[in-house]
Amino acid sequence: MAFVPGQPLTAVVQRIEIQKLQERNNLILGFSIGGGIDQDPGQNPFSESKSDKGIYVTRITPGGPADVSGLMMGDKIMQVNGYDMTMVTHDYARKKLTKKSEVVVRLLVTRKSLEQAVKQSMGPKLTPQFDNTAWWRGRHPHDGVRSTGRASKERRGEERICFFMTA
Amino acid sequence: MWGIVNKPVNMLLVSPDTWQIQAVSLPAAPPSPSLPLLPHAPPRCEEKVRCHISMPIPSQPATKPVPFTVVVPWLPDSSWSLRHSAAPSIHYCSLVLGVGEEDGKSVSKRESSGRGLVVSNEQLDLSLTRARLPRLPSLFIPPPSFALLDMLTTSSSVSPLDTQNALHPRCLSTHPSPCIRLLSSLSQSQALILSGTADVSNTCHWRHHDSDIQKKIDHEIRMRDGACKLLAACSQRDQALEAAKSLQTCSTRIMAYMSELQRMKEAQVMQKVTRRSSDAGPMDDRLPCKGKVAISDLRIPLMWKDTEYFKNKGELHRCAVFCLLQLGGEIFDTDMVIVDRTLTDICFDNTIVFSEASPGFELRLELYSCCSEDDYSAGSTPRKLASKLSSSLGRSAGKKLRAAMEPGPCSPVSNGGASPLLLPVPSVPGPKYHLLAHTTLSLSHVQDSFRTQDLTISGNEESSYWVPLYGSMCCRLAAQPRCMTQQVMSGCLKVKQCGGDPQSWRKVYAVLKGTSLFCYHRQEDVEANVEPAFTIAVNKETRIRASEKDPHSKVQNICISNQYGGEEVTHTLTTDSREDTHRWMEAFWQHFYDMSQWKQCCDDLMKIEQPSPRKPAPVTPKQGSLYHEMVIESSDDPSSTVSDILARRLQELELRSQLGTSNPWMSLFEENNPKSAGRPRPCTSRLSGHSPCSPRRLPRSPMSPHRCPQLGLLSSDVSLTSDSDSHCSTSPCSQHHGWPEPSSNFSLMSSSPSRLRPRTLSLDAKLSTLRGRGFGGGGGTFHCPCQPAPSSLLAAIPISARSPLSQRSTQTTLSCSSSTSSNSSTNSESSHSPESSEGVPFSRPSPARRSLRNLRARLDPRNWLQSQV
Repeated sequence: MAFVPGQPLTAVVQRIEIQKLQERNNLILGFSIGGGIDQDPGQNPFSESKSDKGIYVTRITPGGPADVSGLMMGDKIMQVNGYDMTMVTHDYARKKLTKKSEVVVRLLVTRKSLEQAVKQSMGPKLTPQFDNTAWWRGRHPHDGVRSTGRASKERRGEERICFFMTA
Repeated sequence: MWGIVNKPVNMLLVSPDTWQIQAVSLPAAPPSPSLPLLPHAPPRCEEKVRCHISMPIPSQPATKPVPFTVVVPWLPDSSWSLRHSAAPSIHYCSLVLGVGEEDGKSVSKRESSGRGLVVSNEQLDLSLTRARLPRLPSLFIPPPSFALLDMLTTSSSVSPLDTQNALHPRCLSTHPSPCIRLLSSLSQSQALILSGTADVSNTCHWRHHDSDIQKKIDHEIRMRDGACKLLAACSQRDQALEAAKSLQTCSTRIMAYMSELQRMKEAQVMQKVTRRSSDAGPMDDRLPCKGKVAISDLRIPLMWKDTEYFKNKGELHRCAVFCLLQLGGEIFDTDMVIVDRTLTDICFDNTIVFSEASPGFELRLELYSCCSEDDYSAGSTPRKLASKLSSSLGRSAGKKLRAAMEPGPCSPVSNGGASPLLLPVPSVPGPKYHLLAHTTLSLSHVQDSFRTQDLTISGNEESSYWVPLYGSMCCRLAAQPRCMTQQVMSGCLKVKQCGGDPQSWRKVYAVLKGTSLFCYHRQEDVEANVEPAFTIAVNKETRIRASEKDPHSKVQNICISNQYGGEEVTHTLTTDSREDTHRWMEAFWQHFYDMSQWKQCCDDLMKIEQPSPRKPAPVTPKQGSLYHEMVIESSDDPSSTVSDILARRLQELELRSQLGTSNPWMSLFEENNPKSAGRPRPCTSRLSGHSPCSPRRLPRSPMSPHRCPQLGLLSSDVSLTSDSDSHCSTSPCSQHHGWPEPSSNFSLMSSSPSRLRPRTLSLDAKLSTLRGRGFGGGGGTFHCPCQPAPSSLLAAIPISARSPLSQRSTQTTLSCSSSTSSNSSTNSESSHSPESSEGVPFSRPSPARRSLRNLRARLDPRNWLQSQV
């Protein structure tokens, strides 16, 4: 998962659908995120590359909606409801995740173990393994070159390029 | 003969040659006077305005001086001076000078009322002169006011000579020297009333005193001007605080001198009155001796909230405080002390000695405080301008300008609740001290040891200058009456012990001082510090009487009786002459009187440590408490090394506890379980079912903490570290859960049940918090530099027991490395580790480790936020 800015990137992604939980007045997802293009990437304990400014899952509330849905600590969030998360500010990511109007959040996440697992179990052939796991293709954004908003739109477009691994 | 102009205001200037200050005292029914008024229009420059007031013939011949009052319209311009020449028969005359209206109102309109009573039909000559033109006449806005008139009216019931009543803080003294002309900028309601007397005999004493005080006032005013200039020029905060402090002190001194001057003049009037009304009986004018009063070791305990003090949390509040001590006309200030929450007590090292205290003294102690963080530089533009102008225009013009620009008299708050400020402190931008607490000490508080006194707190917690006072103050208040330290009387005596041989008179040189009558053989022995031949006690138990006339001699004897162990011993003194005997008797009476007045101070001589005139910048140890002397400042500090070792050790422990961390993914792929495909549930949970650790996994559904005991533990950790941001910032080295480790213990290890908003701490705040924690010295707090776990740890981890698979993963991880060392090392431990079953469920972070993590996180200069969603 070494990303070269501007170069196409391929990642195994997993779709995770999280049903928000009403807790008092808030709808909660039950996890914490870290990272973002406005954050110091060197402090991200989860990223491989210290220049990765992506949004990562840093904590999961045990038994919370995210936990139930299978989100894991250290997951890198690629998309939220179709919005790109690979080159956004921390706050933007948080806002996208906590939209009050949406009860369900659909995430595309990637994680190291996922990739390894796929590689190991299937080798180079793209044998279907998980119904909700897919290869995700896109162009890794140039850090800081494109504006966040545009990047998101493009990402949405690129989603079509992704193909899911199906049996 | 009374002229009261109905628009008088504020101001007065009178040459002190013959005029003294007196309050208004108006008789109720005045004869209707012919009203010779001063020209109501303001006198022109270089002009002399004359006013002849002819005194109407009183209804009855005056045997006593009766005060009268003249009100003169005036401008608040100090360049004018008033002279008068009064006929010798006029003994008193009160002058009220006020600001009149500058436009031409007819004189007749000003004859609002004529009140007063005059002694004779003599003439009173008043002349107003001024030397030069005011430079900025447009700035002199005469404030419209009926204030004085009101005052006159209200005080009209006061009997003419009741100076007690009449003398009120509104009075103000004046001074002939130019610098005191400042006084002219009084507020509207403050009128100055001067009373004059033509009778200048018998006034030598007070006048001498008077000029002394006026010199002092001069001096203080110059000091104050200097302080103002300094304050305006100050760029450093501490300089400004010091300058503001001396300004405050000077102002208070001026006030005190003024009122003393006032008192003296008042006393003189009184004296005259009583003398003239000669029916007053013989007054016992015995006055107790003066003495020294010293206050030292001032300590004012503070009461910080524990969170502020121990945890060093919250906004750092810093105040500059000092004490102003006033006893009569003597005013001293202490050093300035900067107070913040690291101080448990405010300590003033100064010893302050008042040398002119009478036994009825009242020592007023005022604690002033000023928030040292206030933005003092944001003075209002006009003030700045004024101060600039004043420095550029030259002294007098600038002063006038400043006076004119001042919105009003300085706030009485800064005046410490004393009488209203007649003398406005020139307002300059700068720190302002506020009265925080005060107390008044008197003779009964004097004790030759430390004592706690109550403080009256006048600030409150909301004020910016607030310092959490405990409400008490410790100090040592000692007094040395002069009768204890100086010779009261000395001279040659013949002494005979009673009951002895009638012929055994001993000739001695006796010195009465303190509680003894020292009897020396010769007078030279006194200077030579020779031990006295014998000593006769003279204390409160001693009885002294004049004996019957000795049949053998013509003079009266003095008998001194003392009780020595139940036995009365009487000494008989005799002198050469009758006058000497009287002098001695008088001295004894005075001595006894002094002792009775000074009470406990005359039992023993209290020690007073003389303050050294100018201490060479006291190298006071940094004030603070023990807690703060345990600072771990730098990393080369040995203690820091120790804590480093501890930290490393902790990390090791942490690693060990994670050795067993199994990776469900790994195990999954080892088993290569194909069943997982096509399952509807998220893979993690499904997979964890196959993982060896799965039984320890928490139930997923419950959200309630009651069902997760570990959560309770976690939250207790939270409360131990008591940092709201402890879960929100993570540094690479503190976060020990990496990517490939989605093991079941996550839920226990690092999720926090508390929902805390992430908070961004500035570096300063972090460091101060850190230091605070370091100071706190709690068992679980360690000071450790932010650095990843030492690589030696990595190397130390055994690789032997790894499965090929996990080894591969290790290699991958290590090859892309860089992330966190602890990550990789944790990673490198396979799930086959024998400890795995024990390690996982109990691997919640200990408080110590958590706080270690927090420390590290806080040391990071940059943020890596985490947001709960």
